[in-house]
Amino acid sequence: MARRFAMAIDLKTCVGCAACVVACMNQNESFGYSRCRVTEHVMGVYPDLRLEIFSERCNHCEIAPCVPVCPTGASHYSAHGLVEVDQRKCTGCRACVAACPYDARFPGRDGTASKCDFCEPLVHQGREPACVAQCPTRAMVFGDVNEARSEIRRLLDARKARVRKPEAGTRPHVFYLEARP
Amino acid sequence: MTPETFQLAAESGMRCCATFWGLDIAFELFLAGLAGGLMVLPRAAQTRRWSLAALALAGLTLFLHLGQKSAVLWFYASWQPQAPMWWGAWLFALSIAVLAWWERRPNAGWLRVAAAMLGAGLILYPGFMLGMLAARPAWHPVWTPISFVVLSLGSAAALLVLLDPRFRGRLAWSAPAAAILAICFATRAVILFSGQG
Repeated sequence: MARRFAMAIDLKTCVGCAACVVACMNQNESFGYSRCRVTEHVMGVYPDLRLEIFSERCNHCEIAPCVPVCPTGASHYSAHGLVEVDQRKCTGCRACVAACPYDARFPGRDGTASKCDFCEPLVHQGREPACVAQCPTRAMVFGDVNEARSEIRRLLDARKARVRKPEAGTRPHVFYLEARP
Repeated sequence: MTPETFQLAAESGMRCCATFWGLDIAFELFLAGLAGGLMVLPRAAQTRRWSLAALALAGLTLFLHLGQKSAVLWFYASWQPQAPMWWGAWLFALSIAVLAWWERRPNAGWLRVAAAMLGAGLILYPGFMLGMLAARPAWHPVWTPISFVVLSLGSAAALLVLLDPRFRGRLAWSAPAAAILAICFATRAVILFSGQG
């Protein structure tokens, strides 16, 4: 079976330190242009409130709305199912920015569309994405979900997980492992 | 009362691109709709220079908006029929070519038909381009295309009144026509901004 890379983030151990944000900027040499963000949300109804912290980035959706709207084919799926941008073909028209339900794309400093690529150059070397490697609480796990013995597959099978905006029908590949059983 | 509230409390890192299409795109869509409207209305032959000028200005505005201008030819070197913007790029180029040709051969009837068909495309594509974006619910998939068609035809009809020698110097006609043109532009801008931020 073809490899399918994904990321799982444990909501129980993510403390929202934003080390992933700093690691991303450092890896991509783009200070001020991080490709991920940390958001804190207050959930529930008073007095039963709880705080949830999400480390967000491109979800590398299986049905990515940003791919079909691209007028030049710059946005495309890689062989491993990742959503990539061919910078050579990107005109910077921002159609993909408009199409992304997660606001995970933005115009980069060079004018083309920028977004998280799961640190593809590192992954090709067999390494983890920078944000995963730098996470101090090891809340983030990256791997091949089609590999039965991978840690991410084991976690997704054992734990309850959710995705951002499931109603969008995009089948994201960034999973959030529930803090509560 | 909803059983669960979900409120953003803090954010750090990647910022949302609040306004990805600004006034320049509102102006470009207005000009494209105006040109398209002129091309489908009965006096298309008399106004083809206006259509050509509006399209050339719209194309220039769109080009200046692009983040990487050197990649502009990829619009024409790619096959992306599922992308409304790809259709828009082709409609611009073909419309300018047809209008320029028609200017040289004013008696060619088939050029009149071709211009009308391309004009219909120019009226329709911006509304579909916005309406197809499910991530932006403010751009309704049905009402946005319909409103863009109405605004295109309205602005073209208003310009026809302004250009008509019978109404020249008659404020009772020209003032409302100018107001309709301004309203058509402003309404497009409001629709465009309503889906952002």
